Amino acid sequence: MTGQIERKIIGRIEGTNHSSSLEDSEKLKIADELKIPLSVVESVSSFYFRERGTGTICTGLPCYLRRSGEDGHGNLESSSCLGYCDHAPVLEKDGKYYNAGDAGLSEIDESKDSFVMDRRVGIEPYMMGGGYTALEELIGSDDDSYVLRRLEASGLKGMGGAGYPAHLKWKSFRESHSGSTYLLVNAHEGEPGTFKDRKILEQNPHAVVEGALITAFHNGAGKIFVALKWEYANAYRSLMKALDELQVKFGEGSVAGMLPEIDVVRIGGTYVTGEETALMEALEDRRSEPRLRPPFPTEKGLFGRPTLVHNVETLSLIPEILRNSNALKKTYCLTGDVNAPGAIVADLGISARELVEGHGKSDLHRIRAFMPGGLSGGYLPPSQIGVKLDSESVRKTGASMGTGAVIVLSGDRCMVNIALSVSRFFEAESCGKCAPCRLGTSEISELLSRVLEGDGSEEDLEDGKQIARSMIDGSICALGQAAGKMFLDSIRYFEQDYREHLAGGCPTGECSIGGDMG
Amino acid sequence: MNVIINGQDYTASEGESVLDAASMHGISIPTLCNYAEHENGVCRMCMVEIEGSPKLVPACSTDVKEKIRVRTDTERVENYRRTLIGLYMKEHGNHPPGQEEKCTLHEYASAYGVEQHRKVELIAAKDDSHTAISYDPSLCIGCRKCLIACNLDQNNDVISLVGRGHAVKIGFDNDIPMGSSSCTSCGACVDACPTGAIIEKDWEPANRTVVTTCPYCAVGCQIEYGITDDRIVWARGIKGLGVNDGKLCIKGKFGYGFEKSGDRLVRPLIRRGGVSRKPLDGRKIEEFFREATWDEALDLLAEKIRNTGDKYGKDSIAGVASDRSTNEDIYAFQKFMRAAVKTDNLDQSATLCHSPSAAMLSWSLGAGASTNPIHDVLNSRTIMVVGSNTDRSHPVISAYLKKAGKDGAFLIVVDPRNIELARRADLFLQIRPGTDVVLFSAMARYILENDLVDKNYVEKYSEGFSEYSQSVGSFNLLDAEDITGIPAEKIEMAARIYALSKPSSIFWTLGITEHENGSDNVSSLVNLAILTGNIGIPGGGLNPIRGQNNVQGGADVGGFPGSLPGYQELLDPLVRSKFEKKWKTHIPLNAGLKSTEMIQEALAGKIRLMYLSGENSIRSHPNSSEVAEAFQKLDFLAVQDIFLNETAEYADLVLPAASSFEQYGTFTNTERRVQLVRPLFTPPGEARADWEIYADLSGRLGYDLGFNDSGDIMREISDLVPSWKGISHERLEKGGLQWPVPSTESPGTLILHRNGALRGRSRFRPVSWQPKESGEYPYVLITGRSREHYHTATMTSRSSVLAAVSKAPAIEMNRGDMAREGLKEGDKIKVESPNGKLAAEVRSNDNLQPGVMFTTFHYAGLRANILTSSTLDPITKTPAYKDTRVRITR
Repeated sequence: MTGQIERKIIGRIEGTNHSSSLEDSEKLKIADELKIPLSVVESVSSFYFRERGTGTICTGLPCYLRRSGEDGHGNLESSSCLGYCDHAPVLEKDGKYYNAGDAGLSEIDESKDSFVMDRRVGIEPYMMGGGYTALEELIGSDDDSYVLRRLEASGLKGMGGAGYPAHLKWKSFRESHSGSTYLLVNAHEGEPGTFKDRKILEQNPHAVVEGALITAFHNGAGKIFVALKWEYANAYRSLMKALDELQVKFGEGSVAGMLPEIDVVRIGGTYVTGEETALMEALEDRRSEPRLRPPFPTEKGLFGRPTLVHNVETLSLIPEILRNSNALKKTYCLTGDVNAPGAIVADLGISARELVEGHGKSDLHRIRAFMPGGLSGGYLPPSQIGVKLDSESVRKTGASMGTGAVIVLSGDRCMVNIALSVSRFFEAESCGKCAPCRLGTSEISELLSRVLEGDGSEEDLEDGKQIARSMIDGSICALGQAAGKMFLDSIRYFEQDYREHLAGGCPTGECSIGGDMG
Repeated sequence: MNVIINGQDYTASEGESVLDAASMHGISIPTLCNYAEHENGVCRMCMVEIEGSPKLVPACSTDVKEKIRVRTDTERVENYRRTLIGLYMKEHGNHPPGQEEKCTLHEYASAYGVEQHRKVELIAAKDDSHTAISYDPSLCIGCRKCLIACNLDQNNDVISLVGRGHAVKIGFDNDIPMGSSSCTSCGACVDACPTGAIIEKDWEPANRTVVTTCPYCAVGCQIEYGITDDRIVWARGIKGLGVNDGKLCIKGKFGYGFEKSGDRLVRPLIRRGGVSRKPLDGRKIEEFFREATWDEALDLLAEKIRNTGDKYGKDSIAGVASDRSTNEDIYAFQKFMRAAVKTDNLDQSATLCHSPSAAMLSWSLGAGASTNPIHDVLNSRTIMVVGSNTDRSHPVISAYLKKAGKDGAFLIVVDPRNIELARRADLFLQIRPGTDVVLFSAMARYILENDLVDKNYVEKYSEGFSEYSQSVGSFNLLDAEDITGIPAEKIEMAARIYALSKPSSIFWTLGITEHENGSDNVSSLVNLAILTGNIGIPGGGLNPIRGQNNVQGGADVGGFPGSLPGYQELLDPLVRSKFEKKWKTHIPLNAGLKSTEMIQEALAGKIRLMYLSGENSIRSHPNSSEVAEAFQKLDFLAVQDIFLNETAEYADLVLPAASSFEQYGTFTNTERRVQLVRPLFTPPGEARADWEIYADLSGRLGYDLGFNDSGDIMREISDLVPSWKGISHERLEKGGLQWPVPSTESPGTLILHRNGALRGRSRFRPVSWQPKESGEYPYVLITGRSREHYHTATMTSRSSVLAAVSKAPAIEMNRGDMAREGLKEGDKIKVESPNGKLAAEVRSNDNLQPGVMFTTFHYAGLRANILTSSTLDPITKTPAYKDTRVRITR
């Protein structure tokens, strides 16, 4: 049931020692063996490679918020997100993940492969719970019109950030395409605060596999590609084991012949690689940069074929939806200044209050702000804590729910400092393709640094607003647009913080200039 | 359809971008990264408002729709642009003095009132490693046009993107200096760069510009020259113009400067009394020659022609015209020779190169020319390139071949050398020199035996099939493997793919023709195309890539013996009477000599006077010592050229000619496209256009050529040549025309032999093959060209950039052979053939197979033609430059 696409260059690069950039001799060898220009090897390899020290320190916002001073763990390179945000602050050494708190390093249990493999839901228990019956029902039914009905009734929307109703996506895709089409499973999670897809793949891989098979089968996609973030080694093991189990179970049966191939591809790269068209570029062995639209992936996607793209979580919900129409359960990621961070499975539309207070066990009075949708969904003030966490409700506040990653910021946070951390993330993860994002993210970071250090001016803020607007207007993909929005939101909600910095102080005393103020 | 831009109604066409539609109507939307026919969309300058869309959209990648309402001038759009320009300018460095004019960003910045507000002085060090191009990363705005130019347009694939995010930058190969990279110096990146980050080192603004046809090869690229103070200050291609569509090669881009060289001939020269004909060898020109007036010079030549003709007969006189001259010049030359001198002993350069191609294509199909246009290769599913180092000799055609390959065409390369194009090939057949007939006949036999023949074509449109099919019977795959050195399964694969994955096209150059059996080589290719029906169809065809800018035209206008203009036979009575009537005189009754035969006849004392125009025969003909001997035997040698080349050193009379930068006329490129040549300058000193010299001289012989300007000549050609009937200078001002152009309404002919060959039926020509004995000369020496030089380098060595990038001449050998001979890199060796001996440095080149050597014939310091043999192809008298048997002596 699995097949392999050839990613000759990236495959070779990933197969080489990851410790530093590719040696020139190695580049020449790849070019020679693959009969491709050296310039192509350079362009691709320099995109995916990042310098590595003896380990990696996570600089994503949830980790940043919990990090106290320098760690002294040797020559570490930084990463924008290692995917264990609920164990912040996180550090990676020799492939192992640690909580690097004040008490020293302690390995994160759930990052151990034995931990994951021992606890994952295998095919037997999955089937005991009704797993794969939805797929079998679909394959066996002459009339599959019930699928869209149930999907619509469930209110399932894309969980990858865009929040588009799944039944509408399917309806138009199936109506407009015949011939060879693909399903691309986006498992390239990378936004700080988001780790739900990793957990789902690790814990319940068959739900994703069944969901993908149902989606592909119903929509006539001949092949499924799962594009998995390179760093998610345990998710890879769990998923591959699920496919093996599936092979054993259905391998020879009549069902197997009707199912599309599943190709699991591990992909490095950056946050932007998770943008669906950038992911396609990566699968096609190129620099992972977003494409211009139109054409949209549903018209011309992977390898030029119409491609349906779904997030891991979205697919994992589909079998359940087809089996019964219970209320949707969503996996929220709660991090930041909360007492009990974690992945929380709750009814879709749970209020932020309930999430933070109930599940996060945090005192709402101490909240300065929260981000309802990770680093790109915008900020909300405490007055909005009652918002229901579904895409529609959040959108009405002017923010967006994104992947459902809620990051809480407590009252003693300097919001200029937070804004800078956010901006640095976008700057570091920008692919550099389009000018507004490439130049704008860097410029915003610089001017925020100036403001933070007390060297900012009113003009900086005005410039920044103009730049942020041009990033929203001009960036090719959501990364640059989000970077602009986050800056504008920050100034809108926390203007006082900026004013005080311009005047030479920090309201929270968190910044160095705050100290000067005494 | 109708579109509404800024409230005004305009028309636009389906599939057009908003940017293009606006620009068509003179509404300019700022853009920095737009590149014709390639989506880019990264600069984000061209954002506009479209009614119904809450977001701004990029005009470059938004197609027009019926009644689309576009606003390019709202406050939101203007603010957006100003902000983005500001972002760009913050990271934009300083231009070298005078070069800011080339920067579009600066232009926009001043239009939007954006002050330079630089964050950093200089982001990265300038790369000055290339001879002629500099790259300043601080001026780069990341628009990626250079990547498109280099990798997608020229398909040279040198430029890379290094890193990502804010730090992303362009690099060369694996991020090494441009000067050490695989850069071919085509300059496409320079022409594409909107800011001058990549720029000609000596770029300066031009006072005026002229578009003309490149003075070098037969691709016929259209070049715009920038001129200041009566000198060329830059050259560039223009997107959308001509066959090159903006692309150039190193010669087109940088190969100027020769025209203003201090040693241009500017006055006629007459050999001093008592000085014998020999090379100058470092002596001053004045020791050999004295300056003369045109009157004196032409009177002298006229008198010599008259006297020689009277004494030895008209056929003791011979002339050779250069295919570097215009059609008008060569037409005037052949008319002068035939009507005024009254001999048919006239020839052009083609005898030394593609005559076998022209002759055999004409014999089999009825036209001695390429069948399909260059661009048409993009329609091929299979492309076979034979004996052509296209990447070096015809870089712009190579760009199309490489593009076709990238787009999925199956590329077969047949060559004795593992050339650059072979690296790009799907199938590379490294053939032993001189065994082409065996390879292609074995392919033909395989096609016949496996029933892969296009029966419909063969039956309907061919003749001579049964005789031909019998003739290839002796070429089996295993013997072919033995003889050609190519594994049988590769031959089989080539045959299958060529025959089945149609349309299939064949391209070849002199690796096919410059052999003792050059004509048979050509025919073996023509036969394959007939057998598989790959003639007269888009994407198919037989395309000899011609060498000199006007070698096609030279033959077209009658510049070779036995053929009046338009390939009308000299001996055909109807043709004769037409020409005699028009020319108002009798023309010779017998066909004359080819240029190689003229040398032999001069040696034999039968040719007494030669008139060479733009032919550096001492260097370009085989067996140089024999050529020198022939010239010494003549009674009189007149040479007309732009420089005092090695051949002119032997002359009794030297006439200064205008270069193609100094006259108006036409060249015909390799795809039969007649294109205008426009003057950039007036000729230096007293130099004159070739045709003017012939006309003046003709008058002194008592015959009026009847031309007052080059337009008169073109009018006479179109009058006498049916396939040129619709060609006039006036029409050509709007763009080139591919002959046949049978009427003034005809758009010309893209593809020849549609629905059957021009001659009626395509004619198979059976060929045979004999091994060549090597005897005591175990190596095969192949001569060829480098990218930066052209022929005997009279022009290219006088262009400072080309001279600077060229390597010293050397004989190249495979390292295994060198080891066997006990040779080290750079050792001096003596190479000897039955005809001569020369000393040269040896250089290793593992692209050569064992037993094969290679050298160029560009350099005065390594006169390869001392070695080459005067053995000729029996039909076209073309020399075997590609197969000289040599040995190494010490």
